[in-house]
Amino acid sequence: MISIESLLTGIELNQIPFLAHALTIIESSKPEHFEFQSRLLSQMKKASKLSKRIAFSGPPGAGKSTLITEFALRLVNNDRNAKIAIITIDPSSKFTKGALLGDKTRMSRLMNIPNIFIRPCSSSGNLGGISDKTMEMISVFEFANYDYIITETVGVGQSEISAYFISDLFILTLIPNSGDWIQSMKKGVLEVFDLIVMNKSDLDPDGCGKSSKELLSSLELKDNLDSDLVKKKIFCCSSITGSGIDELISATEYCLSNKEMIQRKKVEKSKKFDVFFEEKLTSLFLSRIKNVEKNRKQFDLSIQNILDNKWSLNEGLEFLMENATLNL
Amino acid sequence: MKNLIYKSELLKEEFPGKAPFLRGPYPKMYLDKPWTIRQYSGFSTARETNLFYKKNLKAGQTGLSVAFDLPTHRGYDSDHTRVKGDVGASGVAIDSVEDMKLLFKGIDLESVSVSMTMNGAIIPIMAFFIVTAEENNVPLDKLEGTIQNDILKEYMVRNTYIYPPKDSMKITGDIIEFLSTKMPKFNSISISGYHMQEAGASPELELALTLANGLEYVNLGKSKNLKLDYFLPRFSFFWGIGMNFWKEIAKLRAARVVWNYLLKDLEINNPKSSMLRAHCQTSGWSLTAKDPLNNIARTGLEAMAAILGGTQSLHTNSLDEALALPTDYSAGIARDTQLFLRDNSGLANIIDPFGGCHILEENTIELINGTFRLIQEIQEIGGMTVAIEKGWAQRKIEDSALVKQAKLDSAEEKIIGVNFMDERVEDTNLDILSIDVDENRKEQIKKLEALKRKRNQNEVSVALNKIKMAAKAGNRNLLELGVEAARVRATLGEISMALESVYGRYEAQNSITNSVYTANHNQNNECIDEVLIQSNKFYLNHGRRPRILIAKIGQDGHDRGAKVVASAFSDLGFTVDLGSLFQTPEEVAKQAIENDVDIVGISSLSGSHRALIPELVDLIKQDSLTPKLVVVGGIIPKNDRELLIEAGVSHFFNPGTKIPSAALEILESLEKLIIQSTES
Repeated sequence: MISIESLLTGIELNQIPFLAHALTIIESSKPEHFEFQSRLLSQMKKASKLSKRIAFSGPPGAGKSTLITEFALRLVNNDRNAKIAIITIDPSSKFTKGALLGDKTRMSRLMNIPNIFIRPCSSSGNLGGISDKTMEMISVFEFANYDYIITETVGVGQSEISAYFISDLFILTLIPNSGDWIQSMKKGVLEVFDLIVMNKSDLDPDGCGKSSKELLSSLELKDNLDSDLVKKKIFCCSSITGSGIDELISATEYCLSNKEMIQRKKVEKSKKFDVFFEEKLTSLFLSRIKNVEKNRKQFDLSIQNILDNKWSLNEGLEFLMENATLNL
Repeated sequence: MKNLIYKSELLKEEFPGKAPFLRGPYPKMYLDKPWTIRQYSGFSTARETNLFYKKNLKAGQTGLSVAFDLPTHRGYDSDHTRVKGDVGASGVAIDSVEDMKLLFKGIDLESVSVSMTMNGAIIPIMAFFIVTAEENNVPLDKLEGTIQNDILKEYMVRNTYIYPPKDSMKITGDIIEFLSTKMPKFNSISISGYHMQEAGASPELELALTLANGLEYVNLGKSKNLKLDYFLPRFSFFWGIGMNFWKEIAKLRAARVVWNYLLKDLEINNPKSSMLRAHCQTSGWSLTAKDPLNNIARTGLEAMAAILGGTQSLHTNSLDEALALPTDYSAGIARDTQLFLRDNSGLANIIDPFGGCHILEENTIELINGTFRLIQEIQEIGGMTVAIEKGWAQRKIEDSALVKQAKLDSAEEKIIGVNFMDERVEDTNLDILSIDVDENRKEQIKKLEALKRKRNQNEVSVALNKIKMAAKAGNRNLLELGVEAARVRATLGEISMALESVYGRYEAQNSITNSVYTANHNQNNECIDEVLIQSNKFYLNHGRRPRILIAKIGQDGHDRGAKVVASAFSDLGFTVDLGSLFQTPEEVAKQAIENDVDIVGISSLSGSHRALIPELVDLIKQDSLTPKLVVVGGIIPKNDRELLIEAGVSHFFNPGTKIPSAALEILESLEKLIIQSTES
């Protein structure tokens, strides 16, 4: 296996294959890789840049990939040297564990731009709209000096709040007349979004305006923003005609640079952080149990005892906590 | 739309040549005029294809059908950097009116009808054809033939479009308008189900989607204020004929009835307006690379079904088409198959000979009613344009294709020599046509340079500018302006680019389904289980799912195979990256490296692999930190394999490969490769 030093040097020299491979190693669930991963990440944290991390979430068919394409094209247009990383996440099958990653095919116009790097990955069964390694992948891109790191979530709806915690700006993408979705998201993403895009305005310009107004009135906007620019938190956009996207970018840049807003967001995030911590902890715990053979045996044993009604659920858990080697 | 319930008693009242044309469009059918033997062909350059055409016409072929190469379809001149692997590879390269003139040199366009399969770059191609006729002093109203001009199906299958749907439909309308005014003997559209059938659509689906497309074109003509009786008689249809004998005969009969019914409330006085005429082609998909001589029998059977169904013209495939483009020899056998059926069998002496036979009538009625129900569903969605925009039609075809693939892999549907009785056969050593793409490209570039030296550049710029202005304003017939540009020797790429500068180039919206494959893989589940065990083992060994990039390379838009494989692999526990269409080797390599995949699977059906795949493998090797397996699926002639193996390709999978066994082979080689690379 490649050494940490050569990986880091390769990435510092802007070598794409090294960056790509570092991501693969970070994603690995093999116990033998865990220590390597921790060392690599802590090395990286020492020399990381502060990137602008943006997450796009929203129901399937809302046009997230095409919107991100237009968004990124404009970022590059505004600044030729901007480095942009895009992580797209697709669901994996619960049964076969396979996944079909198709978002990148919708971004083919970005593929020939040297400063853009797109990495699709599978959610590997995670429920929060991202994969259990998305946060770590973002750290790799930060070390690799990317100015913008954009995450496209799976697109399953209300539970996608993990993306909120790993980003500086959370953009929810909707299409007109998705009233049912909005209902189902009220407890969830609608509590944490920063901006909303009402997408595909070319197909239904009137519906877009109408749906935006309805949404605005149904939401109790959580803060009174001073700037005219962000007073409007909902943007009618079209990836086909390009309308609305410049405004979205201005708002994005504003939110990401306004000190007051950043501070407010930090406070807000820290209040809710236990939700994400719980999720990360659970997935870390489970992965250490399931991927280490010794632990897996004890896991199976405690399940067996619980099912045979010999142990209570609590006893089973405590047995695991005592006997499993979690610190690798 | 009222319900159409068709019952068998009605047969008593049915006569050929009488609406709804169940038993045939004409009263005397082949007794008056046998079907046209129209072989679809084209390869390399106009010079070579012209010789081939003349030879075939001498040998009994009665009509021409031009196959253009992919750069031409997609609106690129042969000197464009994106198309270097595709020039003349799967059809003839046409860059200018000079090429078109060369293509028909010594062929009398007044007496030979010409069909052209063109949808994307239709303005320059029709313009070149018209100017060729002009400069050969053939009056336009004497020209007979067909232009495919069916853009809607391109967005569902085949993918040889250039512009977005709305702009393409404007062009389609312009063609219908121009042709029905000035070329009354030329079919202005050939609404095609063939490619859907080849992509895996069931007969009902093929009929429903195609006839529903037809309705969109009827509306298009109406929106141009053309009288229905003026343009509808020049509508024609194009069906694919597979191995399901009774179903296929029934399909042709059902198509005529449903089409007639769909138009019955319109203002039509000419009976020909609602009379469906069709061209048929035997199924290329049904042909096997293994034991290819068997394909003669397959094609013969399919041709017979087309004739019994009452087709107006017919293409029979050559026996080697699962391997490469046909040679003189194989094309000769294909043509002779039709001569046997026409002159030796007596089939042409009877009209609808199986009419009344219960299995045929039952199939016909089932198809009529099934098709009609699907069309109603499409109308409820809002018509085909909406169904395509929403991806509904594409999903229907893909699901149907996955069901079919699963049935084949589990041998529920049998293909002799492939998944059934497959141990007795040996690969036959056939001489296959090998095409030198580099040589074609050189010849085309030389001609382009000469053309550009000789022409008046100023005239060209003016003509191209007019096209741009008209595309922006939408106020003039674009074909008319295309003809003006063709006269002053603007090239195909230039005319297409003039339109592209206004309309933009359309990108496919990829939709793909998973878990349809395993759900339909009923029997033979052990093989799937075995793959799942192995891919899990890989996961435990390496900490990741085996990751495969399925990519298309070059200008070939046939992506059914790639999509079926991608979907099936994801059902087999792989992480699958799907590549975009029309990629260059650089782009595929970049994606393979960025995504850090273990396997790169290239699907190639167009013959561009010789040039492009070695380049791709080199690029991957150059940049990759980890070993990557390169495998190729599709039509790769045996003679080319050595070259590709030398370049570093590890596996080839022919059409007809069982996907789970391919997956097992790949996993095994991948493990070996990884061990090798850690040792060294």
